[in-house]
Amino acid sequence: MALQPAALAEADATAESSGGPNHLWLRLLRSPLTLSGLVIVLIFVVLAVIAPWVSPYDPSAVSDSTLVGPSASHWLGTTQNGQDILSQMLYGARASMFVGIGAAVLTTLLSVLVGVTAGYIGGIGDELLSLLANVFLVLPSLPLTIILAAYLPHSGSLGIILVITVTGWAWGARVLRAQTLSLRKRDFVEAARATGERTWRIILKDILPNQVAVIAASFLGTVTGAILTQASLAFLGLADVTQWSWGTILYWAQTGSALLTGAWWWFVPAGLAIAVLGTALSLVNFGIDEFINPRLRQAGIGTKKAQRGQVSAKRVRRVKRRGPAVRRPAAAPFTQDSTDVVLDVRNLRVEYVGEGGRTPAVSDVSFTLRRGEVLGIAGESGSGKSTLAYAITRLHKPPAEISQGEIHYTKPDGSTVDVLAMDDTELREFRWEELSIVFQSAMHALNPVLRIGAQIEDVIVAHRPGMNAPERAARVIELLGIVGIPADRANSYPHELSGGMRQRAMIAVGLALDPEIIVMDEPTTALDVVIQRQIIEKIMELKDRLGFSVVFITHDLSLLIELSDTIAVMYGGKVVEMAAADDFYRRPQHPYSRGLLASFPTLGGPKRELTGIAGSPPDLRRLPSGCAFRPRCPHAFDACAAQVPQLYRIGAPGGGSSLAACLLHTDASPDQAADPAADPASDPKTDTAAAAGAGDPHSETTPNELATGETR
Amino acid sequence: MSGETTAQVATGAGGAAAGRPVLEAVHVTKHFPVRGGLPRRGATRKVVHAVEDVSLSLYAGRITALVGESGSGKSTLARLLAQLYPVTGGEVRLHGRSVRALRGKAFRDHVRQVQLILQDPFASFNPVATIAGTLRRAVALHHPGKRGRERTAVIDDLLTQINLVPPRQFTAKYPHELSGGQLQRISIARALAADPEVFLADEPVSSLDVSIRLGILNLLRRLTEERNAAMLYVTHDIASARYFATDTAVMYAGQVVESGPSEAVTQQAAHPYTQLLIASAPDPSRASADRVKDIGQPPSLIDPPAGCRFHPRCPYAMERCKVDTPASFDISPGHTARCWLYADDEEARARRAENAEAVATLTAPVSLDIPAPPDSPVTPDSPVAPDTSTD
Repeated sequence: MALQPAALAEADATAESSGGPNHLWLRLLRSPLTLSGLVIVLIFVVLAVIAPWVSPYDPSAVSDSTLVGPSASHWLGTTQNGQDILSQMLYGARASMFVGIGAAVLTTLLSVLVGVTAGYIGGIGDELLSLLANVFLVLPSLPLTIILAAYLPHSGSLGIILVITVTGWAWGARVLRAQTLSLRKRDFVEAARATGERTWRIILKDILPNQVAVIAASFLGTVTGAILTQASLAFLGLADVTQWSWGTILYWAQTGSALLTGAWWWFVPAGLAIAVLGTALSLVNFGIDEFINPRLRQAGIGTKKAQRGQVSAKRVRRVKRRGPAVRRPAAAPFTQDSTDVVLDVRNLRVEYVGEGGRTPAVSDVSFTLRRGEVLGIAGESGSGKSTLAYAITRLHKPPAEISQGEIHYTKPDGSTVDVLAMDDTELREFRWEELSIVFQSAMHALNPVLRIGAQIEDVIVAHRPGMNAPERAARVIELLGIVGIPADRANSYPHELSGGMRQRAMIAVGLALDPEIIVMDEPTTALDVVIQRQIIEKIMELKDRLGFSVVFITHDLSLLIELSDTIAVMYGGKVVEMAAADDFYRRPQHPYSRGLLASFPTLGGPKRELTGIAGSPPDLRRLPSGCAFRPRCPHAFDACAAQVPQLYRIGAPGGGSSLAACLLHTDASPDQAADPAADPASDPKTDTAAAAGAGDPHSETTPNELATGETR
Repeated sequence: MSGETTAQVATGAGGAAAGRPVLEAVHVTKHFPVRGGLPRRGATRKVVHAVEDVSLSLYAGRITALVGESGSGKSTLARLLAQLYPVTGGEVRLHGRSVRALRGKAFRDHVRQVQLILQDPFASFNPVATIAGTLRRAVALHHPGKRGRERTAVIDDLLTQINLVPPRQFTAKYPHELSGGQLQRISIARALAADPEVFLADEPVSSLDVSIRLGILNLLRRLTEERNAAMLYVTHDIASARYFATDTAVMYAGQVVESGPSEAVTQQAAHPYTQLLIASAPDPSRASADRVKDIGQPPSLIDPPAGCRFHPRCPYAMERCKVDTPASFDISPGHTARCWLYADDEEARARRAENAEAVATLTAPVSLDIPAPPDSPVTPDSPVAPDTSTD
C-alpha cells in the first residue's frame, strides 16, 4: 500500500553515512599528534634535501675560530678544527636520512616479499622461507652488524643500508607472514577467488591493503632503527668517518674530547636531532592505523563484544550467612492469571553515551516477570534486546548507562529489593543466587583453561563458602546430570566438548545456585536445529521441575512462540507488542509483529504467503521521528510521523488481551497513565482504528494479514 | 595449464537442453587430511570424510536446496562445485563435460559460469575497499573489453538489478557503512558481474535479520527465473527450502540421505534423519505434541560409522544398517531416500510401518480453522505468487 520506494530499496537506513570524514587529509588533521609528527619529519626531509644550498659553510672546511660556542657567524658553534657544526648537521641529515629511508625501503620490500609469499603460498615454500626468517631472527643483530660493517669499511652509506637490511628484514617478514595466513582464510579473499581473480591481484588488492598499517609501522620503525644503527656504527668508527652524518659528528666530538672541554654544542645537536626525529616518527606511527583504516573508531554505540562483559565468579571475601533458605513454593505450573511477580521493570531507559550525544538503546521498557513464567523477548539486530538483558542484570558497561527507570526483584519470602540501588556486594549475590545469565557464545563465556567441573565448582565456592569439597563435587555431578552431561565429562576442557555440550555446561553454571530467574541471551542461536531442540526441551523440563522463571531473548520468533508464556517484541529500543504467546501467534496486533510472523516459512499445513517486511531495521542513532517502524510500515499515515505511539491494550474476543504500540489502536485504552500526546480524536484514521478494536481487525487494511485468522 | 583442464567456454546453448543438468556432482568424494600429529609409520594418514559419494544435479531455471547441519559437508560440496577445492574422487560436470579447473584460465572460465555467494556479508568484503572498488574488479575480470565509463555503467546496472537505487548512493561507501542486507545484495551483484549460468549460494540469508531474509531470497529467485540460471541453495533451514527451492537434498555426515521435490521431502519425509530435522525445527504452525526424541550427535567424520552413518542415532535401526551402506530407494517419482527401511523384506516392512505411524502427524498443522487468506493484493516478490515485475 503505502510502501515507500526508499524503504523498499533499503536505502534509507544508512543513506547518510555516520559522519566519518571522507578525505584522508581531513581525518589526519583531526589528530594533532600525528600531524605534528608528520610536520617534524617533513622539516628534516626538506633540510636534508636543500642542505647543499643552505649550508653556510663547507662542513669539512677548517677555519681559525676553533671550538667557539654558538654565535652569529656560527649558529651552532665550531669544532676543534674550526668546522661549522650547523653545516655538518645539515649535511649529516642527508646521510642519516638516506640511510634511514633507504634501509627501511629495502627492509620493508624484502619482508613484504618473503612474508606475504610465504603466508599466501603455504606448504613447503612457506616452511623454507619461514626457516630462513627464523635463522636470521635468532642471530644476534648487533654483533652481526658490526662484523658485516667490518667487511664493508669504506663503502659509505650503501654498505650500511645493506647491513641493516640483512639483519632487519626477518622480523617484519614473520609478522607479515602470520597476518597473511589469517587474511588468506578470510571470506573476502575466498570471495575474490570465487569471482575468478588472479592470485597476484588478490595479494595486491586484498592482502596488502589490509596490511598497510603493519607495513607502515614496520617501515617507520626501521627508519628510526636504521638512523640509530648508522649513528652507532659511525660513532664506533665502523663507518666511513669522512662522510658527514650525525653519527660521525658524534664520533669526532668524542675523539675531540668535547665532553671534557665542555663543548656541549658539538654533540648535543646531533643527539637531539636523532631523538627528535625518532619521536616524530613514533608519533606518525601512532596515528597511522586510524589514518588508514576506513572503519574509524566510531563514537556512540559500542560493539556487542564491548558490551559483553565477562561474568566473573570472583571469590566473595565477606562471608554472609544466609538465613535458612526459603524454599520456593512447589513448582506450580504458570498461568496467565498469575500475579506472583518476581521481576518488575518499569520505564527502563538505557543510553549509550558517546561523543555524538546520547543514543537510547532501550527506551521506556516496562514488563513484569512472574514466577515460573517464560518471557520471550524478540527483536532483530539493533532492537535493544541484548542491551535490555544486560541492564536487567546490571552487567551493562560504559558507555551504556541506565538513565531512567526502576527494576524491582521480589524474593521468595515476599520481600522486594531495588536492583538499581544495590551495591557491588549485594549485586554479586543477586547475580547467580537470584538471577543467572546464559550467554549466546558458550565458548567465549567459559574459561578455556579450566575444566568444566572446576568452572561450575568455582561459582559454588564463591557463593557457598560453607560447603566442603565432597559436597561441592557431589553438587557438580548433580548439576551435570540435570543438564544431561555425562559425569565423566566434568574433567573436560571447553574445547573438548561439542557446541551443544558447552551450552549445557553454561546452563549448569547458571543453575548452580538454584536461582529464581535465568536470563538467556540467544542461548541456542549458534547451534544446529537438532541440538537446539535438545537444549530447549532440557530448559523447559528443568523449568517445570525447579520452578524458576526465564527471560529468553532471541531473534527467532517461531522458537519463542513455542516456548514462551508471554512474548514481548522489541523494535528500535521499545517494546512494540506484548501478549500471551498464544494470543500473539493468533492475533498479532502490531504491523511489525505481523510482518515478522509472515517472514517465517512454515513446515505445517499448506504453504502460506510470505510477505516479509520491506526495508531494514533502523539505526538507533538515527531513529525516524514518531513511530520507529513507520518507514517500513504498510499502514503508516501522517500521524505516525508526529507521534510516538504508546502501548494500547487491545482486548480479544475470546478473553485475553495484547498490548501494542501502534496508532491503529488509538481507540483502545492506553495501558499506562494517560498520555496527553495520544489523543485519539486527532487521529485521521479513526475508522481503521475502530475496525481494529472491534474484534474484526484489519480485514481490509492489511495486505500482509496472516493466514491464521481471528476465529478459533 | 596442464592437459587435464577440460573446462569449456560457455557454448551459449544452455537453454536448448532443458532436461540436462547444467552442473552436476557425480559420485563426488572429498577427504581433507587431518593436520597436526606426527605421522606414524605404517599408519594411514587420517582424513576427514567431508563428502562421500554425493551426486547432485542443478538444472537451468531451478533452485535446488541442499539442507544439513553444520559439518554435514554441504558447504564443502558447494566449494567443490565452484572448483575452489579439488575433488578426491568422482567428478564435477558442467554441461555434461568433466571439469577439473583449479587454476589459471580454465578456472576463470569455470567461475565465469559458476559463481559462489558466501554466507556472511560482513566478512566477504575487503574492509579497506569501497563498494565501487570491489565491484570494479569483478567487472574488469568478466567484462575485459570495457574501460572507465563503461565499467561504471555496468556497476550501476548491476546495483539497479539488485534494487540498490540510486546506485551512486552505495558505490562510494565502505562495507562497514552498509547493512547486512545491502551487503548481501552487493555480493549477489558481484556474482552477477560474471553473468553466470549457475549460482551457488552458501547460506545466503543465515546471518541476516529475519525481516530482510525474504527480500534476499526473492531476489535470488527472481534472478534464477529471469536468467534461466541454475541455483544451489545451501541452508540449514529446511522450512525455507520448502518455500524457496523446487528440489531439496538432505545431507547428513557427508552423504545425501534423501532428495526429491521439496514439498515431498518436507511433507512426506522418508529418512529418519530428515524426520528428525523437521521435528526439531521451531515452527508454531505445527501441533507440537509429538517431538522425536533424540539425544545423539553427528558422528566424527574422521572415523564415520560403518553402514548407514545415521544408524547410531536412528530409532529404527536394524542389524543391516550397522553393516551395509544403504542403497537408494524410490519413495515416489523423483523422491529417493538412502535408508534400509524402504527395502523389500519383512523386517523393513515392519519397521517402516512403525516409522510411518510415529511421524504421521509430523507436519500436521495446528488445529486452527485456517481460512484461506482473502485474495490479498499480490505483494512484490511474493514466493507463492512469483511476480517479477517489481521488487
